[in-house]
Amino acid sequence: MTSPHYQRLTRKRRSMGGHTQLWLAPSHLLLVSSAFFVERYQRFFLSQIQSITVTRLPRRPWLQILLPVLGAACLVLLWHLPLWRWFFGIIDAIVLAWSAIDLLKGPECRCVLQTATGVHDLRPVSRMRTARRFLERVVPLIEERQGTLTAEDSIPATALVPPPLPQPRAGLRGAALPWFLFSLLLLNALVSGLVLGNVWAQGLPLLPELLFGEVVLAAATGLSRDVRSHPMLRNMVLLILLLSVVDISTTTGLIVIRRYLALMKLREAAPSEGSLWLSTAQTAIAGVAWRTVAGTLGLLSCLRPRRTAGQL
Amino acid sequence: MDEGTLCPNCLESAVRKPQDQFFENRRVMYDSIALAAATWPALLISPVIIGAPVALYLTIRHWRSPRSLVGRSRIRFYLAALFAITEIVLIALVIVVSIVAGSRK
Repeated sequence: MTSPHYQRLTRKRRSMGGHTQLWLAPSHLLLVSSAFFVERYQRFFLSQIQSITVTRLPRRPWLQILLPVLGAACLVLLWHLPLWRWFFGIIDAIVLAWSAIDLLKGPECRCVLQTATGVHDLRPVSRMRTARRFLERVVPLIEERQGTLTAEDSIPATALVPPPLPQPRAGLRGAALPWFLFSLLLLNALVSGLVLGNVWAQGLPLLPELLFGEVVLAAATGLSRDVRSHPMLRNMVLLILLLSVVDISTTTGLIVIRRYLALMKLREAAPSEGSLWLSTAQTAIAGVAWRTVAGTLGLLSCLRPRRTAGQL
Repeated sequence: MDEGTLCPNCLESAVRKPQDQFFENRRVMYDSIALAAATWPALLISPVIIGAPVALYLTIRHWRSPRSLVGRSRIRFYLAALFAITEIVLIALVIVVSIVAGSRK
């Protein structure tokens, strides 16, 4: 048995830490799922494919509204927070590029392949354009193997029993950890904002515990099974964890530098106390901003029911 | 292999110990691991001391290991080796310079 020569059928559909892609061999389709450093393979013989169902999914106008709003917010922050100029510049570029690419890729779809052994979600076929190209390539090959359906072979539509679709992954209404995490993010944003604005200065001693709790909760949420099976939320939690760590270490670093300089009495040679305090305050303002956005988006994604192939 | 017929026991043993890549359902991408070991630790500078030799070891040890089933060049191995060697040379330079500077004092 020789190694078959594979031809690429779809582009890589990337997610955090991996990708999925479809390849074509003379006798079968190969679904490659890569997660970090391991590739997993699933083969579907052309002669055994019973059906391929492509369902167009509804557009996501909220994403096309939200992303430019987020981009504009980043632009405002970029203008007002010189220390975080690079950070918000990069975030802004990513957000705007994401919005443009999403528009250019066209409508989304879900593609499900059925064989005698079960129903399989073909994740790389996620856009209508890709689905059309995929079907144009694969259907003739399947017909070559299985023969073309004639009028006598075809079953009246009324007699068709829809195949059992893969069970939609459960929503996150029942999962407690994401709710706690996103609520804590909003709480931290609120407390930081009140402390920054000198409205509730007594809240300052609470912040280290709240921020530490945020990191622990983000790590626990990222590891929980509910979130791991929900790619968008998992990526969001990982990003939150990264931002939390960077944010806390930056703030702590600036405070430590200030204290060190005060201790060494090097204030004349070093940046002034005022500018250091300003940079710490800017870090805190940026922290309030991203926590508010992440907390709100997270709670919205927990509330929003997941789309399934059956829903239009 | 085209569509053949195998008994359940043969199929199970073929999947467990694949003699043919047709029965493989997973592969470890050592080239990606080597490249990650050569690059990620460099972001934090000091872990390069461990990362660079690990990357070099993985590159040499798995140079002939099977790569992706769908064909993949050795570019990651080449890059990993290049980065690892550069990092090791830099570490050696830093050590030598520190020793020379220390002895002059």
